[in-house]
Amino acid sequence: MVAQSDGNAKPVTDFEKFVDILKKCGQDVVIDADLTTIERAQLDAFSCYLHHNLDAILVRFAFALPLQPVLSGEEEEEGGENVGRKNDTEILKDAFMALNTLSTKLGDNKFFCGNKPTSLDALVFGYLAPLLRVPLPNDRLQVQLSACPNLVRFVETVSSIYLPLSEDELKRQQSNRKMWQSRISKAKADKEAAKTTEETAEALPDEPPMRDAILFTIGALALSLVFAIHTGLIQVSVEEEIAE
Amino acid sequence: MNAAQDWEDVSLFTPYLNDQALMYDFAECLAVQTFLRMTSLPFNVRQRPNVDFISPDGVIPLLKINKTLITGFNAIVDFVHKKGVTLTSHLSETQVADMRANISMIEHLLTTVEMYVLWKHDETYEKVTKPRFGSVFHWPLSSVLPFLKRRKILEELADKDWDSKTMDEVGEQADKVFRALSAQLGTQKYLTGELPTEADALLFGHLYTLITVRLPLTNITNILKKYTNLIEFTKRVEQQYFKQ
Repeated sequence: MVAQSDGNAKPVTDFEKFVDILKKCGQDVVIDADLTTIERAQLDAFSCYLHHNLDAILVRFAFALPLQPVLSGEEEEEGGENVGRKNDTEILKDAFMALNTLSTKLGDNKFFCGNKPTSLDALVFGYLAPLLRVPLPNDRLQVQLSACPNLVRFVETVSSIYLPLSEDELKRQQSNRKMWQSRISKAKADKEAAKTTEETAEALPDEPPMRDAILFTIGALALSLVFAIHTGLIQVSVEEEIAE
Repeated sequence: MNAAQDWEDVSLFTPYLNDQALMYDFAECLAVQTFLRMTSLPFNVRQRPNVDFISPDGVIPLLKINKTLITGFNAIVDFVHKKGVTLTSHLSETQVADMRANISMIEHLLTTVEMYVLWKHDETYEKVTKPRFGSVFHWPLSSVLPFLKRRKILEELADKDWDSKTMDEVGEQADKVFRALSAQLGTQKYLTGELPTEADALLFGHLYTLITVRLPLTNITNILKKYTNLIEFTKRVEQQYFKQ
């Protein structure tokens, strides 16, 4: 996210910083003002929790199969690096746990800190809405999210209050849905096809490259020679010719 | 993971705590020890120079029960939980959610701050990190391995967009963590009231490390010292679990 704070200032690209600036700019914006310190502390803790458990999944699935045509290859690579250290199962497990934790935390409340919206609500909405609305090839997370009715209700509430859609947009959404459905099924078919080609590819093991073998032989020979000289198996004597 | 085994012959493998372990590893090892002491489960601590190679996934500390190996604070807590020993039975579900968020904040944000200080700050790296990390290896490994590790950690920091942060910004992040935890602790004995939980164990591990560590750079410790209730908390836990 990029927000221009004053025209001459540099862009702000971080949700937390953005909230900070809004708080400081002292206009009519009131965010998180009437929270107790403990609530504010929990807010910080939760925003950190969300970043660490859900960033990976959004990157992973947003940059995965069906969206590929939309996003350039460069972005995809960058995204891939960020989550390279975790595998898919771990990411999913983390995300499942995060959803459960959020669901528990929300309980029957309208917002996370009772009846008033806070910056945490905005952040959670930012994470959950795409998970709920954007069609993904892997729908396990969506299934899991639908299993937490209070989170689904939360997303509906926030979007109906703060991001109401006009009729035109609704219509467009309907027509887009068909396109997405076909895209998903196409992606699934592609995936299947990729799998079968992969399997056939695996059946034919590559021959080890010749260059590696030669390098290995040279290395091994050199090492044994050094060893032999070192232990005295081969003795080298240098005879100097005496100059006249 | 086999949770049906009996709790006997349990060893906790850690690096040499006094000479080798880096700040965040030390903190994690201490946290696991504190957690196990809180649950009153018996265990031995064994210090080995090569724990990160013993550990199947490179995560330390390592808990060994008969033939089962469990690595890392969270996994150990989960395992103990599966054995039916838990420190959170007195908490409501919402409190458990809060606790998870706190653990995540300590584990990710605070650890990243510690990593940044140890590997990114040149003086600290030369004077503390490199000698400690290389202490168990002979030359030339004692300089090659820290160099490789540093490159890896700096890449990780770059993935999190932390490489462009200044020391002051990192200090702000640390301050955010301490402020949140200090507010939740308030005047209570532990984070969630009268009884300790795993979040307290983890918090103690990190705070104790930050208070006792000697670094060329003292800004993080100075920030921590502003929060007197956190310092008191650390002293209290040390008194209760480590001075008997």
